[in-house]
Amino acid sequence: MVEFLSPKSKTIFESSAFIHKNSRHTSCVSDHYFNHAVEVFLPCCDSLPDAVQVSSPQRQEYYAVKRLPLAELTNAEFVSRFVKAGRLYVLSIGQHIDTHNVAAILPTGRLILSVNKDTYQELGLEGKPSQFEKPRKVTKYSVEVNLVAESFCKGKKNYERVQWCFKDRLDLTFDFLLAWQPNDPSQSLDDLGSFWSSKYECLRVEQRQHSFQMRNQSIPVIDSSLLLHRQHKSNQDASRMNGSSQGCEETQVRSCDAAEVYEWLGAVACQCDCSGASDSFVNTYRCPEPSQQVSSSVCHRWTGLITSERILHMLDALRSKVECSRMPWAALTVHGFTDSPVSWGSREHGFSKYGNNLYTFVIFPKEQRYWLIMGIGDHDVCP
Amino acid sequence: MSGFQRVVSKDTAEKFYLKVALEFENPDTRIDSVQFRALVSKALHQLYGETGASIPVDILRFQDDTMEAILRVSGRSLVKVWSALTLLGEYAQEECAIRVTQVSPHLLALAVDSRHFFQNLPS
Amino acid sequence: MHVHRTTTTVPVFQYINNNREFGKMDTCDLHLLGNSDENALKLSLQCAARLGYGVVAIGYNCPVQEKQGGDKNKVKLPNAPAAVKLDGQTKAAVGVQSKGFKQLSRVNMVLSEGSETHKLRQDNIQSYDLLAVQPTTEKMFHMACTKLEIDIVCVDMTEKLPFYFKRVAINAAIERGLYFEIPYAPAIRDSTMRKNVLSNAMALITLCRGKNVIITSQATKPLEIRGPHDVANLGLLFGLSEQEAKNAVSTNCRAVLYHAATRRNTIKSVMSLQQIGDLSGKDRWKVKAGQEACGMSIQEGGDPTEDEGSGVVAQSLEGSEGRAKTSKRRKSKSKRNSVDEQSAMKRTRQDSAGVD
Repeated sequence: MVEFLSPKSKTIFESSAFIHKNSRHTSCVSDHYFNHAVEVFLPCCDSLPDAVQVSSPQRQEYYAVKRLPLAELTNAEFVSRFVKAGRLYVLSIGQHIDTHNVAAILPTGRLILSVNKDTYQELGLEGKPSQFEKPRKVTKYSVEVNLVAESFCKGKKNYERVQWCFKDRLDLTFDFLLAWQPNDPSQSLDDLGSFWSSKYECLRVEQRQHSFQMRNQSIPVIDSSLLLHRQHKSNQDASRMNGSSQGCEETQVRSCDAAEVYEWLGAVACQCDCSGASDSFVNTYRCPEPSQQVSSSVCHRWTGLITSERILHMLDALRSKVECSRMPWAALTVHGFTDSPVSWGSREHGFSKYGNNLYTFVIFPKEQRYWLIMGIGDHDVCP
Repeated sequence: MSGFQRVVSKDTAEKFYLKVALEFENPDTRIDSVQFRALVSKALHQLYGETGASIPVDILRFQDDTMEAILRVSGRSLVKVWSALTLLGEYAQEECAIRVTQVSPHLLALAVDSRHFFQNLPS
Repeated sequence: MHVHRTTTTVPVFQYINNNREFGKMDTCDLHLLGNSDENALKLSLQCAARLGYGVVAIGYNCPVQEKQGGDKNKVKLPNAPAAVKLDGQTKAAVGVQSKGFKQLSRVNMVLSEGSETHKLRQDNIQSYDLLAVQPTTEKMFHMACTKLEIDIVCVDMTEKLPFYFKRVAINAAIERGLYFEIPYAPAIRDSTMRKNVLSNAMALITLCRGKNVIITSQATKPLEIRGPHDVANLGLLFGLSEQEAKNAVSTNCRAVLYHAATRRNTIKSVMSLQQIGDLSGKDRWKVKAGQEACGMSIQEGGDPTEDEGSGVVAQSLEGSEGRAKTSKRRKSKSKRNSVDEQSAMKRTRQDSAGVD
């Protein structure tokens, strides 16, 4: 029978403590700019705790602007009023990164355009070829414009050229999502909406919510000090089979593996059936062992465009909640956009079969420890 | 206690998850999860024979109202299962189509779909 | 007579973008069977749009004439039918993706002997966007690959082939920028066809080494259409590599569209002419840039009086369109290689310079 190569996947597991001086949890959250969904899973809870609810992205709204020319986002007035005056998140939607053009403005003030070869050749701005393609067969290019650079102002050559390229050579028009975190607290998102409302169709959108509660459910038992006990799959299988011979039997019984927990969290988020048996015809998946029974747990998800400040805020609220309650652990998952041109920082993001960029924090009450699991695709660079 | 530990796994994926949508010629036809599993077996058998039918596939979720399912397969058999599902044209004397909407080695990622989310924005 | 004219070169892909509105690197399905009933076709198109295809071509078979009739009232190929109107719901779903959805028409000619090739010169053929030939004999297959001015060679893969694929012919077709079509809907329909399609496709792909292949549906109804990623995955089954499979539904199809556009709209598939007056405002700068690069003075009144020898100007304009900064342009010696948009040039004649 024909055999096919199995696709690659990249997953990064980290174990650390929030109070550790080199902990990277802040940079992981704040460098992941375009967040599509945030999800919390809280075992041993009947409802979402108030402290978490208050810090949730619920009240952070965003705008959807239809058919907005790129030239509008790069003109000097917009740049000085919004890009320089806060953290602005702009992402095009409806365009697929593997076949179409995609544009984004990062909160650092950089405009990233991921364009195909045709557009690139007509555009007239310098860029670099996508690093995920073979050097001589490049079809995607990424163009970066620093909107907050000193040379980017009216009258300067750089600015005029960018304006001319976007306005007169090609009218690149996208549907955009915009979120803004102004530096000056007297300003608000409304300014952004009213800036264009006369010319373009602007919609103020709320985050969509989805929540469900599970009763009498088995959840994995986790020991935060044991991240992965299966470096080698075969060894692990063997140790499962004949038990004590590996000498780590005790630890295996004590805790679930991070990969198992990661899969299980996915099963919960997708509302999968976790009651399979090994002899079942339909489904053999079940909650990893060891597990414990809890009477009630809550899963809550917000979907839309969520700023990383919000998520950082929420992570802090969740940390203090976990510390002072009787939860064995809690999980926070953040999903990035499939079609974002960057994943973390300005690392290029692409799509091949799948374009995931997501991360999960499993937060433990003991010693402020956490696990961080990052899932990325084949066309991604490890953060 | 170890302060910091980092493990990067970038081998071939152990497991892959597929979100699929099933459609029948008669839009009112409904099947249950056991029938759906039988349909997947049939698809594998028709393209890859007995060895194909023995590929383990778990139906992690089957919604009988929308006829959407989440499957779990091993990374090695992803292409086989996917192509078998694509080439299935008929089940129980009725024409049908299975289209894969999302594929990922991260099950969590199937919980949201940013590509289709904004198609429903009011215009 | 002394002719003064100023010319400038504009790449042909620009021309295509302006005039035919395709050229994005969308996923394409270049063969929906159009000879089925209209409602099924409409539903199929809507299904394809919803699944994310950006370009869909509807294939019409050229009517076959009765031989014994012999009289002159031949069955003529009708003009390309207009695009099918889609319902509002689909439009809304597609519209958000602001990229649109394009329908093209294609004509399929079933040819078995060389004497039938005159059919390819019918006037009405030019009204179709794509031209495909289905050869039924080895001789015709060779001829289609090496000589005929067509875009797609589509062998009937649902049956055992009455001839072998020959490497010589296939290499010639690749050299000339022709593409081979592999359909997948017949493989869904029944088991015999599935076997034939798979074995023929594998045989073809072994010989053409994964190059110049497009995968199309040949579907008659929505249930036979699959999404672009599903189809790319099927490509692996036919023996393509991951990248080749993806190209078979995207970049290769785009190349077919360029090939067709250059066949239809250009002189010798190398350049096309356009009046400067017809240029859209967005393109006028190219004329200006071209003149500047040649050291010609620009007269706003549209009355440049100097310079002769259009050929010289066209030559010297290579790479001087203001794009030189970002794209290295190589002039391809082979005019047949017109799919490569860098070598396909359009010459624009400024008529206002006029004849003395």
